[in-house]
Amino acid sequence: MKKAIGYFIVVVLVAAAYFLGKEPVVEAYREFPLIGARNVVWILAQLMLLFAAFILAVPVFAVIIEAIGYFKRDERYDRLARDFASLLPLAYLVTALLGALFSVMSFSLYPKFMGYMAGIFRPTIYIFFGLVFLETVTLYIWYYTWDLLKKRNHLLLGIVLNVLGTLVMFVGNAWTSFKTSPAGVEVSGNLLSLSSAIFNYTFWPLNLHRFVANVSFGGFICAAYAAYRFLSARTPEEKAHYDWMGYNGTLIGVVTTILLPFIGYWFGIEMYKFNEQMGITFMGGALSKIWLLQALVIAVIFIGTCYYFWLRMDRLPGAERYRKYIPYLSWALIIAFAVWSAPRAWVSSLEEMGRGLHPIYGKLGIMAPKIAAVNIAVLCVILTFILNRRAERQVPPGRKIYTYLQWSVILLVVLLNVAALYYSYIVPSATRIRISIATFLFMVPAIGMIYLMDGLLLRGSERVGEMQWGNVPPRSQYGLIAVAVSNVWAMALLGYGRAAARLNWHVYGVMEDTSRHAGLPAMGEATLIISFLTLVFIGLVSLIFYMTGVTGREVTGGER
Amino acid sequence: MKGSGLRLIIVALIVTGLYAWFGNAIPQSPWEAPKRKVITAEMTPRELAREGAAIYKKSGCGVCHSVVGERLRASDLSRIGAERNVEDLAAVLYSGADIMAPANKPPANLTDEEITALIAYLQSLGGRPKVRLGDVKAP
Repeated sequence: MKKAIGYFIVVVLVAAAYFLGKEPVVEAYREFPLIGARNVVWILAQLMLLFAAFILAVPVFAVIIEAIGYFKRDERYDRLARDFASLLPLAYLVTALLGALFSVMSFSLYPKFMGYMAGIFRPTIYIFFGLVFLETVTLYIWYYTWDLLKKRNHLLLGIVLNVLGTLVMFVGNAWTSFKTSPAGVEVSGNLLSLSSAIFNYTFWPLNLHRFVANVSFGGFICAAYAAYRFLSARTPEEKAHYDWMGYNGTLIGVVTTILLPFIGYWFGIEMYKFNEQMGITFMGGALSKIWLLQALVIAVIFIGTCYYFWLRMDRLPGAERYRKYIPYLSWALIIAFAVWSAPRAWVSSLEEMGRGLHPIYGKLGIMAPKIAAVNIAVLCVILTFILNRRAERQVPPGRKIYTYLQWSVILLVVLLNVAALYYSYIVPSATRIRISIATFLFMVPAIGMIYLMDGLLLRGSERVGEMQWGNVPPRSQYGLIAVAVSNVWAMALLGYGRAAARLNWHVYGVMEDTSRHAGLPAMGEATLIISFLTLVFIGLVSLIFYMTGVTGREVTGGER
Repeated sequence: MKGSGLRLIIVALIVTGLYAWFGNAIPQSPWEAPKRKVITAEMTPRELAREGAAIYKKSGCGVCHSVVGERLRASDLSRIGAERNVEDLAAVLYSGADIMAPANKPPANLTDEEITALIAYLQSLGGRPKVRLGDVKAP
């Protein structure tokens, strides 16, 4: 494994030398055999981003879990954090290889565009490679000094690692967000201000969205790893450990996923601020079918996660009290996703769109009720989570007030969103947009209140019975794997969507794509590529899981 | 270990297959980058209006505007030709209005000739196309 450090550093240095040593070229485009230049760059970029998301996310919650273990003096958390971290060294190496390959391919196939970007962001490229180098060295020191350093120092090193990782992501996001919402340049593309180019309209929303999405993604992938290890476990102890690990990974994934729609709205608002027509193209125009697919994928993620938590209640002493609510939650989720997936523009072309609304579904597919439906779906996930927490504990007497307050907030959320959903269909568009913003602004503090009441209610409460870790049906683990695969697919889909929002522009409004790949593929073709790269990613991650498992056995003599 | 790896791959295949199937089952609409229209000075206003109608559709104007008397995101254009003169139309198209970006900027990114053809089409809505190439001056 230690050889990986050497390989990684060599790859990063070669990529840096190649990236910085390129001279401006006149030729704008080159072709790639069989699959075309666009597809090869698309696949490599997305694969690299998926691995980058993974290696940025895992240290975040590995350090959090390690800290919990340290402060609670519970060895299980430390082992869990280490289990998560064990996936990192190989994942770093694969990310570096993909990053290097992506850079070489991009410069070779799109030399003019990449030359332009390198010219605009040259100082940040030096910073990027410097940060990547520091981050990698820190990671390996952090990983290999787990038992050598004092725990407090090790945690501090973990925090440094996360700061470096976040800064690496910020630099990459400056380049990506500039392509979507360029600033600090003349119409001709000449640079006026580097800081304006970096801090463009979508820079901060992209930073926050990617950071939270990465943690969520990392949580679900680690849960899938735990599911994989659970399914191949030979002893009850192993099963119990990986069941517990899967639960924690899912918990991290779901808590952060709940935040994503709200950060996504902020990203959308900034996109509309930069260019309203880009926003319309993205949400209701040429790219509106993306949202149909997103509804399906998020439905699988939400319902799959809830299904896992519902199955968990079967082995939770005391959960019998709350099982009766599960059918209501399932139906609420199904109805919410039915509203979300009602198409606005399920037509074969923009010309057919003519009237702006779907010829059959009409206003059923408009966006505002969908936001209310998403809010209700988010609430169902929160309720599932709360019932899980509540099931294993006995609420101390004299705290009924918190229950009443909590249910009042939940009732208010339901009533407000159902009313918003209904009225959105019958009021003019300007009013329904205001309604959507109001429900969004209400949801954030409401979720905070629900969790606060739960914390006050269960503070110091006693457990009803011990959780039977490891005693769970295998189908729950397949559910976790399906959720993780869906999460990868959703990231690839929305990554495509954000890039496609630029239509035929490398840098929106500044540098036009004049290659033969300037248009957008049909949704079917795009989903085939997204599915392909998801499978490649899952294949590579499975290999890392396998290799890590083998190494783990070697180190611990088969005992994990 | 190998067995669970295989099962992981099978679940991944089923899930990604489901999404790819759904993506291919819905109506397909590849988006083509706009090709420049060949618009010449010899074209009559009626011919320009025909080209303008195609530009209107390809540029996605219909996502916000109706030409059959409905109120969508933006104003109805069914009688715009009778209500606005060439200068008014050119001013809106070149400067943009509310949420509409100028027509010579992305995403429409039209040339001066294409904007003239679009004006001819708009004149034909509730009126008669009169504009010719060269009549519209870019500000």
